[in-house]
Amino acid sequence: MINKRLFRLTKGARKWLFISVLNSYLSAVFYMASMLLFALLLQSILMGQTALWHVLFALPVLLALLFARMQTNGHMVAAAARYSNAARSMLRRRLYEKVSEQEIRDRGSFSASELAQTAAGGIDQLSAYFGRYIPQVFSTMLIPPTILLVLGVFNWVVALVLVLCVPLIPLSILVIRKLAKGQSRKYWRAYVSLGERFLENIRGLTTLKVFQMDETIHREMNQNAERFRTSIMQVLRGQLNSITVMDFIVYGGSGAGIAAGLIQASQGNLNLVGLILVLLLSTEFFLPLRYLGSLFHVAMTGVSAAERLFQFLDLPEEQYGEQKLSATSSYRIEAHELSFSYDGTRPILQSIDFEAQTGERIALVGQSGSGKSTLQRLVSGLLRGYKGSLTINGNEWRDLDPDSVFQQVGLMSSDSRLFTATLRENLRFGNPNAEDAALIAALERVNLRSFFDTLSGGLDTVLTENGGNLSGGQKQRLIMARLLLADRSIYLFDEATSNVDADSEEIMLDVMRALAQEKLVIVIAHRMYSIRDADRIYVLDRGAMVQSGTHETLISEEGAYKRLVEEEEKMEKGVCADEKNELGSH
Amino acid sequence: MRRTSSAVIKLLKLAGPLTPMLLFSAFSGAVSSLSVPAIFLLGAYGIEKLLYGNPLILWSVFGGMLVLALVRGVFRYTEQYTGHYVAFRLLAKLRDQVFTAMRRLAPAKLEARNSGELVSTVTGDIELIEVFYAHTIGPVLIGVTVSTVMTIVLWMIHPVFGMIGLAAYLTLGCVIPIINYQHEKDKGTAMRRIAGQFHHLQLDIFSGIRDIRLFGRKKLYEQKLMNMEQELSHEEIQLGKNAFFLRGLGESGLLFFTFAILFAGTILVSSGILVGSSVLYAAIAFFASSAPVLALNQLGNGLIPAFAACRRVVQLIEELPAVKEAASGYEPSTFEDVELGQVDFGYDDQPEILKAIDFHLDKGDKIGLSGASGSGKSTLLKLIMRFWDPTHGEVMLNGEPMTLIQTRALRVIEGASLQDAFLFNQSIADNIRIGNPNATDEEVATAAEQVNLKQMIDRLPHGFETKVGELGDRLSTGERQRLALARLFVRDSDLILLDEPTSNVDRLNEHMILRALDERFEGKSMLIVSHRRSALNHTDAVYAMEQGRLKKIR
Ligand SMILES: Nc1ncnc2c1ncn2[C@@H]1O[C@H](COP(=O)(O)OP(=O)(O)OP(=O)(O)O)[C@@H](O)[C@H]1O
Ligand SMILES: Nc1ncnc2c1ncn2[C@@H]1O[C@H](COP(=O)(O)OP(=O)(O)O)[C@@H](O)[C@H]1O
Ligand SMILES: [Mg+2]
Ligand SMILES: [Mg+2]
Repeated sequence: MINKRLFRLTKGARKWLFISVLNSYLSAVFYMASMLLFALLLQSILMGQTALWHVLFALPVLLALLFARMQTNGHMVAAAARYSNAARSMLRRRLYEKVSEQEIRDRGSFSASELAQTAAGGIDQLSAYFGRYIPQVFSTMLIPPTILLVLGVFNWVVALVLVLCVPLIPLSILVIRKLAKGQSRKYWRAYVSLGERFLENIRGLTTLKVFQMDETIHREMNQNAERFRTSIMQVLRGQLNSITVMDFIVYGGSGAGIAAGLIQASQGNLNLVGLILVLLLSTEFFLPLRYLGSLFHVAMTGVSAAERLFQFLDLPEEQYGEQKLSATSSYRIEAHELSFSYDGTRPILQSIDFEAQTGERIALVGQSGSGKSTLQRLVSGLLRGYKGSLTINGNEWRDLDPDSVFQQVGLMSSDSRLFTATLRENLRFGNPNAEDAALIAALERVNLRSFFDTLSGGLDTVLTENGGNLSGGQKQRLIMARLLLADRSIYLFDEATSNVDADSEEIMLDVMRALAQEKLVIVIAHRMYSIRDADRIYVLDRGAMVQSGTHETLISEEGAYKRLVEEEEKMEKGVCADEKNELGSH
Repeated sequence: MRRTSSAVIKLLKLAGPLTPMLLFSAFSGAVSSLSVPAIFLLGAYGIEKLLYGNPLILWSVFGGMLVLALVRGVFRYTEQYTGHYVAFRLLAKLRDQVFTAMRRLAPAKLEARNSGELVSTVTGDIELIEVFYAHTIGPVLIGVTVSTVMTIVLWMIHPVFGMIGLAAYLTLGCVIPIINYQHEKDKGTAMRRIAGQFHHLQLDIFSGIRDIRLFGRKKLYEQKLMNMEQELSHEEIQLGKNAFFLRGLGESGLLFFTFAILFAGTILVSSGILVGSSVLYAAIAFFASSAPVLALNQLGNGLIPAFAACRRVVQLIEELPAVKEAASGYEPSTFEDVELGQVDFGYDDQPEILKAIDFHLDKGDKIGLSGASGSGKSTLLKLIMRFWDPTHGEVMLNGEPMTLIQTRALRVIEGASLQDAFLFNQSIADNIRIGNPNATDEEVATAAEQVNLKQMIDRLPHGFETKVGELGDRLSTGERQRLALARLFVRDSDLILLDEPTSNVDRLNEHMILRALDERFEGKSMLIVSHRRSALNHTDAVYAMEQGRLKKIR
């Protein structure tokens, strides 16, 4: 009836469940009392014994009962809402916690968009599960027996007839539930994939339009929507089957109860009040069960959503080290025979040796896909599961608590994201305590000041999703400003200047040089001239560290570095070398 | 309210050919709803027979009840099934229309919208409209039918009962829900808005979680998440409380009016006008007919989020695009030239980015475009691709103004690679085939070869069938860029627009790509935006964008 794992989640909040069920029970009792009142009145009317004062006397009693019922109903709803909200927050927290843990390794097949969909749609489905279904399960266990008890006082045969109809309901529920389980799972999948595909196609719609693929994709989206429609109709059909069967049982059962009442009354075993009460309450007896049945699809969808959520929550936990990286003024990073693979088969880094320390500006160059960013992710602590050794101040990375590493590491790469928020909030992401003046100074450092001055909204300018209303280079510079505001000891710049012009690049390079006076700076770049003056240059080739040294030593060796530099010089000079100066001034 | 009514009219129109089915659903609903009071009246009939000593026709009473229960079940089934069938059909249609709107709005107007909110609209909001089709139109018609029939029945017992019934049906089914809706509708709007924002916030946070971890802002964003959840719960609880207040009011009203019938009945019986059993009939009939009326009473509340959702969806569907694409008009088959004459442009109401730009690109030209970051190079490309229209001046292709050129034909002629390479979470081959769905395996492989990805792909365990991950995050940045470029190689465009095509690749790759572009698009026209001199050197002429103006520098 109730998913154990979901129910267990709400341990701390069960008080609210109790209050909700209690109030729903009281409310039912008040209802029965008012029905009794009606039965008494009707009886006296039918027997012709009624007097106006009977009725007038009944009025305040009725009003009191109504009032009490409204009160209890209010409490019932409020408590159920609290219960489900507690459950919902708990699940959301867990999901968030897991996402943030999982991100630094692999999310498996779970995309951010599915997770967002689960968090928004799925957890809401569950809120109906907790807020409506679970309380109803308990109410259903309490209310019908009480009605039975009341009717039983008048006549046990009628009560027995009603009881005999009861097993029919759970039986039909069970059968239908078996059938429905697979369907609601399918339904939930279809729902999530609908949202997921939609999101991706919306994000990529510009690309699709450029290549006139939007119509094809539109057709695909319609097929998706159609698939979703068929699966929801399947679920519905199951649900309707159950409701129809139940309706028949409810009204047939009440009929049987009333008929039994009539027989009993004709034999003089049931008085008129009892008979009228049977008429009024026999349906009421079945209704909680019927309502529970109609909530079944809510429950199933909730459980299906939860299944997927649990699959994510159950992804194996990476065991991180406990050791805290202590903050000092000087850091030294060393890699020895470091190897790494994302999938365990294709080697990405192979037996790499590498070192860097505070006060140095280290450059990492190599062809696209040679493993530079992977090394950068290892050094920043985003990736674990390496072979060989990677240490910082003598501590092996895998023994370190990642958050203590992150406190020292600042990183920007093409994966860095801006948030849908104001410019101020995006900058303060780097340092929540920074004053506006400091934020503007940071913008100045990355050559964004003149752009900033054109903004009528100033720091309150709202950035759209991932800096969509900025130019490519502006976005990159803003991410750098944000990073500078977060004062770190180790900086990693992964292709930080790929989208900016030569002027801005020179300014950004100067910032990096200045940082390297007191910090450890690692730069990944494709423009060889920008790292020429680095303290040491490492050259990666297909995952192997093929060369290292200063520009002077490397350029005198035959090898990858020299090839890259020569290629660059050839290309930059190009067809008309005399334009060089003019172009350089932009 | 006006917005709501026009949105509702739009939704009703959407039903179109499905209207008869909707009416059939309402008819079934009325039959099934009326069978409930009939069951009870039969019970009351039994009691009357019993009371006045008539021979008890028990089996016919019980049999009648069973038949009615069956009628109830069957018609309820058809009501619900057809109602939902129509509803979900129309929801699928709405989803289609939303995507049509997206296509129309993209890219200019779409950029300004948060994708998470859009997803919330296409999933959450549209689902809510189900309430309108499946649980509003039917119940309203059912409510009206049942109330009318029952008022007549009550009237036949005695006009006073009829009047009480009518008053009850009007109050419970009409007055209260309308007042409630008027009073509460803003809550629905707020709730749906927050729900959309919340969805987007979660997407934004989950997508940026890596930075959140790195910058140590985990607690901060957890707080943001929880605050917003609370805001949303607050609205929901308000609406939920209101629903229960209404339900309480409805039930109380019902009991109260039942009481009124008893009261009037007492007077009528004691003054000898009626016999007691008539009062029993009246009370039971009224009481048992309550369900559809109570449903109406609740409806107002259920509709609050539904109508809010409906307004959001309709607003999206009806939003006007920044650029009205031409479905017909001049259909260029080849590319002759592009000309910008005195073009001014600024995004929405922001300061002008391009000022009085004159620019010409002839067939066979290879032109480079440089300039400071943020100076408007990408913007210029967007104008040539007609993502936006200039504020002043004209962009012309083959001597025809862009606005008169069939947009589809324009897209065939132009092939572009944008600054942000967008990859779909599909296989490498599928991503290349975005450029041309009919490309053969050989063509795909050749394109990969041309952007120097072939070797890398061959080393992958699944080769071209490897999935690239969400937004391509299982590839390196340069690989992403090259993969996106490969799309240009599997199609035949006359004008190639490249925005920073080689910004994320090393020099050797850059060299190979530029050479491959030269070879593949020999004789075609090309416009390359780049900060790299190396790329610009591949062109015949170079312009620089400076303070919104173009200057020829070579
Ligand atoms: N969608 C948009 N909405 C509002 N403003 C925008 C939008 N896109 C760009 N801008 C603004 O327009 C200006 C020009 O942007 P554009 O992308 O054309 O620059 P760019 O020359 O391509 O720069 P980069 O070299 O950095 O790519 C910038 O100030 C940018 O902030
Ligand atoms: N998350 C990932 N999963 C699987 N493979 C990856 C992932 N990220 C990168 N790779 C692969 O690892 C190789 C090295 O990538 P990367 O370190 O990003 O290269 P680069 O030197 O260009 O920065 C590439 O071939 C890339 O396809
Ligand atoms: Mg990289
Ligand atoms: Mg640009």
